[in-house]
Amino acid sequence: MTEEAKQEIFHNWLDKYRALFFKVIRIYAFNDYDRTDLFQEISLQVWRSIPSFRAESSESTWLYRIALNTSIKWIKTEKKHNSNHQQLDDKVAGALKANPVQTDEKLSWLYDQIGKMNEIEKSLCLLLFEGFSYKKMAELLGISESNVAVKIHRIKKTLMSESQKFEDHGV
Amino acid sequence: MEFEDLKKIWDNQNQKYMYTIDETALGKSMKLKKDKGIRMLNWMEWMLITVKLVVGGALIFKELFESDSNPFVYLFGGLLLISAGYLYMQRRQRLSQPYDFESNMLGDLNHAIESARYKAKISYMMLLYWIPISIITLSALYFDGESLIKIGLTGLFFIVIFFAGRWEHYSCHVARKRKLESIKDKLLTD
Repeated sequence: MTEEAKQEIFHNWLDKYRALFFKVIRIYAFNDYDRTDLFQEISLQVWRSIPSFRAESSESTWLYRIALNTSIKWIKTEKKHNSNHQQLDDKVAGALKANPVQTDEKLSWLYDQIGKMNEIEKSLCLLLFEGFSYKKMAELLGISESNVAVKIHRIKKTLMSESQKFEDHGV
Repeated sequence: MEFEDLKKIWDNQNQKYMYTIDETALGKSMKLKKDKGIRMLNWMEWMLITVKLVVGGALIFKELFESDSNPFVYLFGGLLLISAGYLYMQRRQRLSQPYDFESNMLGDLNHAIESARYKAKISYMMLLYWIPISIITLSALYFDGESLIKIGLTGLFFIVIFFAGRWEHYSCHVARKRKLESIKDKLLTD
């Protein structure tokens, strides 16, 4: 594959699936610096994955896999251990610029709840909301369908119980 | 709220315009990240190999011209050269190893754990290396008749370096490996 072809696929994916990437970074990172850092990490892995992409799975499934696998391994050590932090800040500032968008209170609450889950539950919750079947989730995660079902049951139970509190108290 | 209500909230979002991507800045940062990851491990490996070769070779070479040669020095120098060779073989094996992990989250985690384990092993080897280096240096100072203050300060320097390295080994490399292992546990347990 030529460098130009790789570039073209990369830019196409970045444009077409930006909402997918933004959902993932919003779940796994909680401030603009971390979100930018995670987005860069995901972009790098997406770039590296292009030659191994086969049309056996859909583009979006492939990109969910890359984005989620990168996010669960992304541990916030970069900032803490990066001695060239300021230098890195200067060089990459602006890779991702937040736009002023209208905030939906319920959606923000939902993201907060997902943000409280562990790394694996976050992935499953996202896949669940995005309409993936248990079978597909099991394939993507490499675990059994019954394991997925148990985890999803727990996730739904937690979300519904928390939503009850949210509705009752508005918090 | 029922789950269907939560799904509706989710489906109604529009995250597409939450951020603007600056592709030039993104390209720069991706290059930095890519280079940084490769550089770090390569640097650790080559640093260890070079130091072992130079110190081991220098010890044996120096001993060849001594009138009363010490077999312990030959042994130690030889061990350093062998361990440099061993490390070089490990590096070659690492570079030639095919990606033999399943293409799912579990496989990806296994690969990340394997890689973190290798980095922790190299970092541990670097840490252990300070022990013979400090013993040799302190012995040399002692036999050269240097003052106790000088020997003590040198010893203190080695202790500080050792503990700083130990802190880095555990807080960075081992912590990352453990974190990944704990994520794998979360994935596999119900």
